[in-house]
Amino acid sequence: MIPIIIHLFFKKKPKRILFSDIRFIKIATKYVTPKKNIRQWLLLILRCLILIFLCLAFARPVGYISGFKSEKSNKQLAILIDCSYSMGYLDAGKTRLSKAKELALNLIDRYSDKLKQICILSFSDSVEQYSGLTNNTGLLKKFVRDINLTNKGTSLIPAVSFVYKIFSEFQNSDQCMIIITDMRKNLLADEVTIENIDPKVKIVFVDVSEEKSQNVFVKDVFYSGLSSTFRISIFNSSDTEQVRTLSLFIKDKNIFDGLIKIPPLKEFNYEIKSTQASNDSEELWGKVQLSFDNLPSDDIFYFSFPVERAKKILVVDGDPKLGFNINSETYYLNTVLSDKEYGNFVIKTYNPNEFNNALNLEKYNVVFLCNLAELNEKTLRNLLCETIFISLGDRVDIRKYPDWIKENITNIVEREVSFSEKQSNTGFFPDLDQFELRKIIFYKYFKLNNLNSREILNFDNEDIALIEKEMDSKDIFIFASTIDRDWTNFPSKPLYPYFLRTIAEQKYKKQQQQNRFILDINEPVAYSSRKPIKFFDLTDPDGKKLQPVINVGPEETSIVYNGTNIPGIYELKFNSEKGTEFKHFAVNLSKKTAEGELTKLDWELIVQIFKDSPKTFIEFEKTPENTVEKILLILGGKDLTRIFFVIVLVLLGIETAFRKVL
Amino acid sequence: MTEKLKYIDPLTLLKLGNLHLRARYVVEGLISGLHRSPFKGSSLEFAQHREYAPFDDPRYIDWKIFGRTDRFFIKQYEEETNLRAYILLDSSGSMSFKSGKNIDKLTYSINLAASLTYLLLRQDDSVGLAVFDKKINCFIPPRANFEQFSNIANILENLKPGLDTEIYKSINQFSRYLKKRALIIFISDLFDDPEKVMFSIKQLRFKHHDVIVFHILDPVELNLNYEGPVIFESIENRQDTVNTEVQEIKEYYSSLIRSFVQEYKIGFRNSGIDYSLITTDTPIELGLGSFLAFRKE
Repeated sequence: MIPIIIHLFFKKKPKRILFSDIRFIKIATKYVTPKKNIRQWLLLILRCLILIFLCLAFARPVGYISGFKSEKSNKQLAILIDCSYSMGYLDAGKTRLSKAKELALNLIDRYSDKLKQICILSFSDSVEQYSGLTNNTGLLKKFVRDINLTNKGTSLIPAVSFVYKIFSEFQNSDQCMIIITDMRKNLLADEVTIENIDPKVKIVFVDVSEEKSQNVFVKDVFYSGLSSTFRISIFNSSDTEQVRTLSLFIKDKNIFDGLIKIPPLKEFNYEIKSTQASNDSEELWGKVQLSFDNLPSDDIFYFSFPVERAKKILVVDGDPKLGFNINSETYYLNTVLSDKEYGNFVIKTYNPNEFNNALNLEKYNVVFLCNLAELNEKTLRNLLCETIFISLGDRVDIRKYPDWIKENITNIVEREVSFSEKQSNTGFFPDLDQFELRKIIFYKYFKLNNLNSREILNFDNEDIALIEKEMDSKDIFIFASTIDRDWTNFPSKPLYPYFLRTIAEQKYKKQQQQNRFILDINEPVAYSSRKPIKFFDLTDPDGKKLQPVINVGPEETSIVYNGTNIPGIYELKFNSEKGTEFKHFAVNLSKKTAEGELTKLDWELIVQIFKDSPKTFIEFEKTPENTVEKILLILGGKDLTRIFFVIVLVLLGIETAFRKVL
Repeated sequence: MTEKLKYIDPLTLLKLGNLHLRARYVVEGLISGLHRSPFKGSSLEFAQHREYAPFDDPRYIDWKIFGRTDRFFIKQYEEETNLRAYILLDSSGSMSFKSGKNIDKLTYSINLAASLTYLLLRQDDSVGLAVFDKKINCFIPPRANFEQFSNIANILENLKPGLDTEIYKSINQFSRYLKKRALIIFISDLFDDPEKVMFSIKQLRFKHHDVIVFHILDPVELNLNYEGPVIFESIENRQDTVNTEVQEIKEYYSSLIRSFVQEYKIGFRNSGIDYSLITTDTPIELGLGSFLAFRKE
């Protein structure tokens, strides 16, 4: 009311004048009045604002960020300090973690009093350490000083859930958590939910990362034993091109140094061919190292690979020869199966006579026995191989086959069939359709049963096409028809290469899974052997002896260690029948966590997850003291009296100028 | 005496109280050589010779010339000044407006009418008067004797502002009184619909009457020289008001009134009607003098 009264008081009283003709005055007034009205309203609003701000100024106002107003005297404050490995980023000689610790120490000094309890919690992808709630500042400060970097990624969820749980024990209290982090994007995953969020708990995010930073890291290393080539994947997460020295160490010997340029925001692969890579042992271990940048921890990648050998395949077929000297089968299969990059199949073909007469057959990965008239038990048992594939055809005399094969084979069926659309759940041949192999029509086949075996593939009339069984630790596959053209309508031999590659690769994949020696931090070191292990010793990269768990089972012995917390090569030394053996495990910082990438967490995601909680975000100022000032302003509010008086003065000036214009 | 009274202020004239005298002073200061009758016809005073043409009256053939030249010439004479003049005076309510020390428009118009009456009667022209607001309220037919001045002066001295204006209706009514070609002097503030007013005045011109328009305005009506917030009431209708801030509208008002005046000026000029805008702060003898000088040209 008062501003309106003032407004009306200042309004001049009009005088009445008799005038001859007022039509032009009316027109002019109509033209001008809307502008005048707007000015009058503006003046009224201005006067209202002056009075409002004057009242507010005298009320000694304190400004809070939404939801941060504190009405309760009891307070609990949790300071969460990120100690993931990205906090080791160096800027002006200081790591992000040391900035975070300085900030926490300052905050403890400035904030603590008898009514306030503070707890410190360090976290990576899990809660690392927790101080407990206390108002003993000495204890808290010592706890902060003792926080160290971890080699892990970041996840806020476990830490925040932990704090909510601690806070839930205090009712009717003012609670706040201050999260000091470098805001990597893996801090919060998309679509994550926290179940025990308490919307009363206020959250302040403090970003200790730099405005502009750069980082290059080794993301992965691959090795092909057949071509003796290392493929090194390096990621530049900076927005400028980076130049680094790349070094390759095998065991502890530096075998390569080179200068590389990595384009901005790109992952680049570099290949190093090394003939020095030792082939005398069954494994190859070492490290790839970049010249150190601001985040040195991810510039080294440790590796340990089993040394690959070419897959050797023996094909025994009725008449594999095309002419006198050219072995057409060998030529055909080698051509079809050879891998352009690695050439990891070596095919040899024999006819049955050559096979029977061959003395001391070498070791093969897979042996294909195609349409052999007879097959004796002894021959099969003496074959040095892991897998035998037997295909049945018109030459087969089933009476001359071993009993354990005979038991799965009955009579010959003459019917046109093709492979079933529905495959068995073994998942052996996922790409039959892709290769159009279901179009092959078989005119004859042996009817198989699944006695002591498992079905791998069926014909479209539900009859079994392929079974797998085991004999002397060998995988035996029996195929119901020929894989040559006699019992099929196909003009060539499409099943040969397909079966050869698929069967051999399945076996190879199994081996690869068993022999994975490159691990992420916290992944268990595990080794199992069918041979008995008499003595073992596991040492970490620093040479410290570790205490793994050994499980002795009926068929195999396994050694497992769960505490890999530093990157490097872990060496397992054990005694077997062969004598003393070594296995090396490479443990690396997890690159899956995106810890080394510079992309920051999207604030929108935080808003979405903590949508009901009062929250704010500040960046680390030049000094921890300035940052603490900001935090205290957020928690305690800002005295706005002076600002309001200044606003009143400014508004008064505007009002005076405006009134003169009117 | 004429020199002294040449630029006399209309207010001073008003103070003298006697209209008869006031008008005479003013006209005497201006009369000499300014007005003459433009018509030619039969008269005592010879003007010129013209060669005889068929249907000319043979009475006017100059036989002396015929004797000398064997050709027929007609004698032409200056016509007598027997002009019929009507003064149409607007006495509507809006004419009573005055500002500051200026006299109101009606008083000014009365002075002007009286001066013109005196001027015309002195030239032996016959003068009549019609006073109107919404209609013709008073009509004196034209006469040429000097008693006519007293008749007209009596009417003018007792004239009071009337009702609101409807100029075009009054002119239409007036045109019914006109029998012969005449000089019509129209004195008004012209506060009516310009289109209708001009149409009706032009009708008079089309009937071959000589029309003179004196547009009388108060200076304040042109410049709206007031200050602060004002409620303007219409003189002709007190219910009609407008509340405004003069400073804000002054500029726009001036442009409107200028357009209003300009519309009349151009409209009348294009129709061969003499138009003269006179403000009430202009001495009558000055306004009238410059107009008569213009007529002489």
